[in-house]
Amino acid sequence: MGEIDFVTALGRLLHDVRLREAFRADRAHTVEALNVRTTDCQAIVRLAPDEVEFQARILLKKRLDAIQRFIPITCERLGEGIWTTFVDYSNKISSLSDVTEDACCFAEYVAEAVPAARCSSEVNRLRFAKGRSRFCMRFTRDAGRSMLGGRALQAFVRWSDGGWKEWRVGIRSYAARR
Amino acid sequence: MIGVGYRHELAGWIDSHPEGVDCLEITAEHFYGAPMERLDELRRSFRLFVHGLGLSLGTPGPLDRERLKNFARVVNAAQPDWISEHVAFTRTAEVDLGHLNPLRPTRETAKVVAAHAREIADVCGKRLLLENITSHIRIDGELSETGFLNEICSQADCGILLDVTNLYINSRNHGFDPLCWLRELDRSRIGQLHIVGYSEEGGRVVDNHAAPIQTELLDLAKAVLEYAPVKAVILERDANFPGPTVMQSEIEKLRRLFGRN
Repeated sequence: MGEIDFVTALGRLLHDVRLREAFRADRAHTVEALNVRTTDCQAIVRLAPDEVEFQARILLKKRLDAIQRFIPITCERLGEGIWTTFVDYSNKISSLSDVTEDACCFAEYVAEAVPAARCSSEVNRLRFAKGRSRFCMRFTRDAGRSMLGGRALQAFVRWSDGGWKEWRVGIRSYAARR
Repeated sequence: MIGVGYRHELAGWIDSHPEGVDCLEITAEHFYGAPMERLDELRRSFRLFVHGLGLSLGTPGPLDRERLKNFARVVNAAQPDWISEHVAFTRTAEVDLGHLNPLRPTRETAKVVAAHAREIADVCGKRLLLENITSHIRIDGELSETGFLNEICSQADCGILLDVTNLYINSRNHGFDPLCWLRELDRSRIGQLHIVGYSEEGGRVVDNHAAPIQTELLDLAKAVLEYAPVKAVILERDANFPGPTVMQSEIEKLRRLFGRN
């Protein structure tokens, strides 16, 4: 394994909770195992584990804040369990450069891990957003309180420049009377 | 000029052409893959600046081509007065961390950041300002933070976007005098300010961009305005979006401050 620079070493620490635990337990040994280049070695050894941990937590929080804007209903349904669920998710899936993709992966993770918090209209929207299709229609029972009983048709259209828009039409069903 | 960071959640208020808002700062990443018509509309009513979050100037090696292309596309559509990014890294060769992280303040790092800064300014054809970040980690290096910023700006011939809130937060968390820090900075390079209220969490001060501007931040901003030739102050907000009345009162606080200088 080749030598790594300061940015790579700090990136690994911020990204990997187990590495941070090892760093807290024995900084010199962990840095030696990372094979940090000589010029950056002491700067990494002198980092305070508490500060690295706090920075890692801030990164995770900012990531969740960014995702939350895409899936407000899912997050509201997760309630106080949102942080634990998100930490579990982040241990499986590292930060994705595309926030839409990250939000979609988290929404899909929630659908399996906490089915009661799943919001189908948000999953539909994110799947369209990260895909390439030009047009898509989806039925949902989860369109939010403003729609009739939450039931709606979602129509998505993507423009040629990559932008897209969603329309929602509430659906009311009538039973035939005899 | 006084302005706000454009956010989708504030679009309604911004479209009402609020009194006292001269300019908008567009976050480039919010427009990646999006239609550019909105930028055309905004450009007709406001002076624009384009701000980047993810070009990761501190990562050794070449800039991410795709991100730079997307950034330049937004700049081209917005036709801003200037552009800005952070003195930070958001990704390494192995992992994308998603948000801003501190760099080791050395001459070698300054060279990397300055080369990237020059490339961004050249590709976009605009003056680049670099922003100081909040860091919860103290890192040893051969330069002080201000020496590091001055060195980068001198090498890349770029300006400084001074985030007053980040300066205040670092001074509280790491126990230094923000005014001494300010006086070490090359005043001629400070062209723009960012400001937003801070929050407290786990015994530390954090920049979650969710609170109204506190008095101590206004005092620090006043000191910066007296010290440097600032052209624009941008109010940021990314969470707990308030209604128009509160936004307007935040703008008014800044107008009073800026008007005095």
